[in-house]
Amino acid sequence: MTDTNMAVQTGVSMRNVMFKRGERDILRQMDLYATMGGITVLFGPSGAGKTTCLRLIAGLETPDAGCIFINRKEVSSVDKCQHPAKRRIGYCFQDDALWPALTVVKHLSVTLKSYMVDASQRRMKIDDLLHRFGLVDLANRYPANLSGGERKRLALARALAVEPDVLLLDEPLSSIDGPARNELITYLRQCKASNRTVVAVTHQLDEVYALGDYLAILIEGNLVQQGLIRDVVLNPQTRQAALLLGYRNFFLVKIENGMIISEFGRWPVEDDYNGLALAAWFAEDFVAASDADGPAQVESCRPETRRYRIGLSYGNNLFELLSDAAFQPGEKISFRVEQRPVIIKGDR
Amino acid sequence: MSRTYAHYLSISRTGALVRALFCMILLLPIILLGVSAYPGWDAFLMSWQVFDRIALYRLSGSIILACWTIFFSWLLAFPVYAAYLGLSKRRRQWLLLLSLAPLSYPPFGAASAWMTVISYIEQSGAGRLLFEKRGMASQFLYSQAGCGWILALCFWPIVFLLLVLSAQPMRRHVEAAQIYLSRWSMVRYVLWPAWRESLLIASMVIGCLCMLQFETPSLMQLRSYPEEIFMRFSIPENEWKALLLCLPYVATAFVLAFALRRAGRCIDSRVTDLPFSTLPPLVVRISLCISFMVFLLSILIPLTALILYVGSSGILFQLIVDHNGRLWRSVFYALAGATLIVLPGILYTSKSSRVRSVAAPALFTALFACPGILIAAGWLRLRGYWPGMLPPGVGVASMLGAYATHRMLLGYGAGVLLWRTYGERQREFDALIPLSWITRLLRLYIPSLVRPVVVAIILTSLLIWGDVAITILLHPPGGDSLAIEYFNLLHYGSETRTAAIGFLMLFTPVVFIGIVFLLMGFGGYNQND
Repeated sequence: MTDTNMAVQTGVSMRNVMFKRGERDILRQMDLYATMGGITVLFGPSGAGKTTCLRLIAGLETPDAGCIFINRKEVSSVDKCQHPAKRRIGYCFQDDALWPALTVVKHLSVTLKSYMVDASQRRMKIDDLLHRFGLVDLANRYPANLSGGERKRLALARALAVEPDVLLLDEPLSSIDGPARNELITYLRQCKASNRTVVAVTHQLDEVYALGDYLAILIEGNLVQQGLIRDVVLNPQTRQAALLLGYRNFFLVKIENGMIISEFGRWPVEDDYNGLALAAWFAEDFVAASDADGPAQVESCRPETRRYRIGLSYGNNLFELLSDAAFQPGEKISFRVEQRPVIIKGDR
Repeated sequence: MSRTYAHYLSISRTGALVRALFCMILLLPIILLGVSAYPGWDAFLMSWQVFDRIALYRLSGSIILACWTIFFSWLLAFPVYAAYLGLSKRRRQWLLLLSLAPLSYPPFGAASAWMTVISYIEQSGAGRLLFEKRGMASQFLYSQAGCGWILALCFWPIVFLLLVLSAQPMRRHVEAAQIYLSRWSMVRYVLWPAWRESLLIASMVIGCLCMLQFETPSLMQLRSYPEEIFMRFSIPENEWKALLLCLPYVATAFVLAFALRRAGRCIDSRVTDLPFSTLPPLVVRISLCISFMVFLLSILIPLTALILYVGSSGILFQLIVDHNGRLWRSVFYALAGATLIVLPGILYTSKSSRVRSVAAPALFTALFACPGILIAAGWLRLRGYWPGMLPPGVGVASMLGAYATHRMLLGYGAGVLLWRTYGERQREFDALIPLSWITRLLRLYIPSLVRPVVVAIILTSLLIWGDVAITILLHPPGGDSLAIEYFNLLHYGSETRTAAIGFLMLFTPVVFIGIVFLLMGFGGYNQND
């Protein structure tokens, strides 16, 4: 797909964006396309440059190279930076950034007033937002008197008050757990609209699945992969991306005449490549069995909800698998692989 | 009210006792003065007549002077702050450093320099045309408003510095406001609530400093309330009346301390933190031009006037040689006094800021608002009780004690600010580590706080550098300061010598502060990049 076509379909696009802080490269040659009508999750470890990416889209930082488009209109480049207020952006900061001197209802009314919404519409809109985000009883409270979940809801309501074209969510579920988290996920999913682009940032895999439609993986300032969540998860391009996506077992395999050949089995693959490649499996793909003469040795055994996560050494490799039974460290076991691996193409 | 671990830390009985004792030591000289000056019941009843028409007239004059000064200080500080917001981080630090210069110059020195400038302008040809016929310049200068203008030229950095500090923790809020709010709404709903408290505190400090001014108004032939108090103190049997005259100060201080007990929560000592693009470029450019004018008026013009009067560098060099001892003594007084203010203030506030009572700030505010002469008289009385037993050096010690008593509010404020910057949660965590209090202080607190502490000491020392009221009463024989010499010379000395000392008064702190800041890496702590 060409850049032009991508720009037509995408709400936000970043092209060859570079950003430095001092001598340190925060983002390198970043090409991100966030699709309109869906939630794109920027996923990566801490310090990968995810928040910087949002700040660049919002116009709170200016790129050192490249340009940023919102709805096909250039908003940021090296010599041009449209003011954040003119971009029709909603931004939920990680620490909420609520204004300490304003009550819940004032947050909404002042924001709407700044966007020149007339009084009658403003009242309707505030009522709607208060009801939608469960803030009716909290309308006259100050941020200091709100819980973490309530603060997040208010931040979200404020962000949506301006009916933004682009909604940016920085770690929206961080520091929220339990029922409030599930509630907030529901609210966040409601933020989707056909003409809105939502970009969320997270470093938690479960949040990717809970929130996202599209996934972009960012590692050390490099965008290593992006696409539909399922496509990305089932085709990780690098070992680091695979690790982030939950793959735990890596093994060198041979691909020959459309078959993956390894000591754990043979699987067909749609690939013309012949030679060695790195294969990756989830922990769930391996099944363990007690076997005193088994080839693998248990290194660790940690209980999880209903199962145990077993760490084992097999030759020079370390594997991880899930088992219904507990094993003692040092115990010998055998295991089999039940699923076809994914081939990591970037690491051939 | 919920109670945190910090609360339980704060209710240590020993700590409470030590703090109570500390407050008693600060109050002791004034209590002694009151007890010794008490004239008996009948005389006490009669002594209220001290609040006669003249005293009230002078009090109102001082209040008007304070109001003018506060107004002009706001007027001068806001454009500089606007310019500050438009500058890059490095330039902001230079602006901060430069803004300390007017604070370091005693107001009576500035008044003298401006009187020279105005008389020079009026005597010159163009000036005569412009001013002499109407007498505008002189008329303005020798009025309450003119005196307020001169004082504002020295005190505006207090407003500016507090504005800078108040908006430091606001970065995220301002960024959110940049996205959601118009500029006007940002100022009204986000910045103003943060500024409001700073402006209140700054106005209170400036108001107190103005109400205590007797040197500048007397130099400009204006009657002031502190002068009335000073005159009463100079007659031994009138000490009680002088004490009574201080009551309005104490009452106002208590009211202010109560009214502002919750103020200052938004102030943080992190530096240069607000986003670059808060203001439109045109506003920044205009503000930069006005700021240049402000610096021109508050530093360059007095400095140029002084240099013109000094005439040659030879005279200045000779003066430095002549006043070498006095110069170093003044530096010592300022730094030692400031250390005696800031360090106890930090130790006093070392417990949780959540459980601070209103009593301590009220007491410190009252002491800050009291005329220095009253506190100096108290310490003089305390010293007088044991004249034979005093070891050498106690004269200096009592003077430093009087500085600390008078300005402990600054130490207290610095302490609150520094501990807030260090972080409540961090301190609670530190308390969980099994370290002794002293180890914690040496290993954890001092390394983290050394730079802001040095900055607090420097800022406080600037206010002691130009002190006359306390030093004039308590300095040991042959141990006067540069400010005293300057004050005396303004009344009785030659113009060249006076100008040379004035130059030294203005120049020394600036050089000293510059060197210290450069050595410290220029405020590079706690920056949120």
